[in-house]
Amino acid sequence: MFDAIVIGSGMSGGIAAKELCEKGLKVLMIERGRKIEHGTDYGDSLLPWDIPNDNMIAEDEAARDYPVQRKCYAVYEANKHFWVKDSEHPYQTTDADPFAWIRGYHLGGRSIMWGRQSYRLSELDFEANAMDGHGCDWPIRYADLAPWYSHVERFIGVAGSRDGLAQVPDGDFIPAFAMTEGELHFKRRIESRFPGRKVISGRTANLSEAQPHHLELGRSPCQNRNICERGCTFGANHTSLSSAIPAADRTGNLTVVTDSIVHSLVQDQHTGRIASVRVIDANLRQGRTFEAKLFFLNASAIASAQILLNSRSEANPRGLCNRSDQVGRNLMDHVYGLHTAGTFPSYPMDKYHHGRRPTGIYIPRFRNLGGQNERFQRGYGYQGSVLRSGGVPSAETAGIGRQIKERGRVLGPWRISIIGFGEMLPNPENRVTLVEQRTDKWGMPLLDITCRHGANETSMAQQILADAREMIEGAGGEVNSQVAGPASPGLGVHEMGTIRMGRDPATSVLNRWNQAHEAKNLFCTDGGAMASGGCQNPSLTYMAMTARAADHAAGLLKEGAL
Amino acid sequence: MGNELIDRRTLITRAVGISSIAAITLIAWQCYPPASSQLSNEARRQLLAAVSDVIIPRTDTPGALDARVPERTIDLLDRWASAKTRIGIDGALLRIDKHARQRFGAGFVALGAKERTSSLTEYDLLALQEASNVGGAAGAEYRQAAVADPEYLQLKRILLKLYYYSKEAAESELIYEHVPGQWQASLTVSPDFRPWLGNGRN
Repeated sequence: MFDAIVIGSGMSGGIAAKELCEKGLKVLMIERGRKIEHGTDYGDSLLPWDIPNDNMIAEDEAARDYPVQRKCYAVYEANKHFWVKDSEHPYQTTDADPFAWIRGYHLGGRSIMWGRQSYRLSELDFEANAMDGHGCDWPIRYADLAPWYSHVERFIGVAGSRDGLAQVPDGDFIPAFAMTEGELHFKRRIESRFPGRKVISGRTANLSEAQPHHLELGRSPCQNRNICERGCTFGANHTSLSSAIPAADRTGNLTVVTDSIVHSLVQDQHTGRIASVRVIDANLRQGRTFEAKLFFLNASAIASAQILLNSRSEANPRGLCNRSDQVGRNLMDHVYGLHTAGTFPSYPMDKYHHGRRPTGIYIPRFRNLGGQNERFQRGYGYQGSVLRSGGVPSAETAGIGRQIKERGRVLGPWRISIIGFGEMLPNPENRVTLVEQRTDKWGMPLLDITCRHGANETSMAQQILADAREMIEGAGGEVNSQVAGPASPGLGVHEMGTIRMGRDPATSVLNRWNQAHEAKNLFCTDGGAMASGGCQNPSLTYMAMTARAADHAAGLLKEGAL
Repeated sequence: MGNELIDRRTLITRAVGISSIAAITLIAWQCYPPASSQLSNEARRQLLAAVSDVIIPRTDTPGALDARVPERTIDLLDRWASAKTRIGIDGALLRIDKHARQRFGAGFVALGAKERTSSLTEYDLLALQEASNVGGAAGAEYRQAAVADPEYLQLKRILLKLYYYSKEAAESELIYEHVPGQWQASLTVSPDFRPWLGNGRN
């Protein structure tokens, strides 16, 4: 029997394994996908002319095998092996309101391909549900998580600047990636023209400078290639594979099994403890069981909910730990895809930049700070960049021959691209459920995913676009293009909320320690635990919750309380 | 990808020197029917070679032929393109050829260098009329061009991308560094400065 089993090897699972192993626990990590090797299985060494099909997935293949995954910005030929084939992993959703479930099944999960933006939630975010009545109150506040944010930031390496903003609290940062001259101009104009709004360096889990403990793990500084989602052989961005799993492994306490799909958890009806986990071998389709004293569920918000729902029994007909009927409900993603682009003809034309920086700028939330002031609730931020335009000459511009080369050799004006990320309200009708009549090739019931933007999201999206236009024009720019509305839920790849924390077992699944109300040795620290989503990229919060919960769980285990 | 944003009406009215352009209106261009049949392999190869050589000629730096753009385009169409895309690209090539016949009395491949350039310059202008940079679809790529000949635009994009992302062009036109190393946020542009290629994701 292991001391602990961690289900999932991605962003939060990797940290769970690391923290528990470092506390002396013998840990089994179960990953449903295949084993991949850090470095060997990455596509980051491929030069552009060596990538098949000009880095585009063949059209017929994309339509057949990746109809959902291909909607994600980060999916292309050089890294398609990191994304599931939708044809092999179906789920149910409606055509009218489709949910795009973007996934990768392999050791390290989506931590290999993530966007690396890392921002803390703030006190405002932890209080939001209590203030406006949506969802249930978080059982923790910022002060509970702050030291664990620092703990994780130091370990993974987050490059950022200390900006003194309550809505995105400062962290334990390594040096930020500097802003371009265009961004500095934009920043000065925005902060002058729109008092209270700030433009800061994008906080990113890339090593601007490698600290000794990073080097000890074999990680090295970022080489500014901006191909992180292919896997980084330099280990310059934090992933489970480059960072957390090696840290766990060097303790000698980690065992990893891959190609093992968790079917369900088995609860001892007398003690209420989780006794074991049933898995299906992905290749042999044979079942086996693993036992442990402690279980960490880190399969990602939707998959973790699926496991709990599928762990139903006579005693738990609605699924494990689901007397509240909240498992699978309150699915959220950030309101996403709200893109605006423009140019700044008057910004200094004698300046340029070198390298392909893995981050950009961030405009933190400025709406509904200090009370409800807008026609919508909660708020949003923007990610983006201001870069000199250039690169391959535009084909849309008429002209051929020598003039194409001449155009290409001339640096274009400064160009801004910003994307809004808005908070989605928890809504119990946005949920995942099991489809009883349909199973996948391993006999697991398929999932039905229902997730729709409501009136608040629609209203917020309109304001996100209006503000983007106003800021670009106010900063001296011209808006050249803007989308009409948000992308489908799911394409933010920030799914959350399906196994939420709360104070009351009647309305939540987890307590203040991410511990299941109904099973004291079960902890869930992936996106499912989020009682609300904030507008900040959530992975840093998952990792901080994980480190905190692991510390608590290990303490309970050592006390004999589990 | 490149980001020039030039008003196309302005560009057309500035097209001094193409004296016959006024005689070729959009209505006349629309008389070229969409292709319903594909080219033979050899005809496609010859047209691609001729078209890519005109679009990206050898100058003080290698051109499309030096970078094997025609061969790589054929490879791309074989391995990547759907049947619909292949037919669409063939259609664009056929329309280029038809325009040459209408204007100069011979197919594009049979024309001399100067006539090829004139013919394709005219066709390029016509085909790219009425482009829009305003994206409409929610969350979609912001750049959705609504041009007179979208298959021609797709062909031109493919040729340009294959050229610029070739080893030959990356060493002499837009410089590609696979491992830039340091991020330098502020550099002063010098007269011989060449832009860098791509944002990494190409």
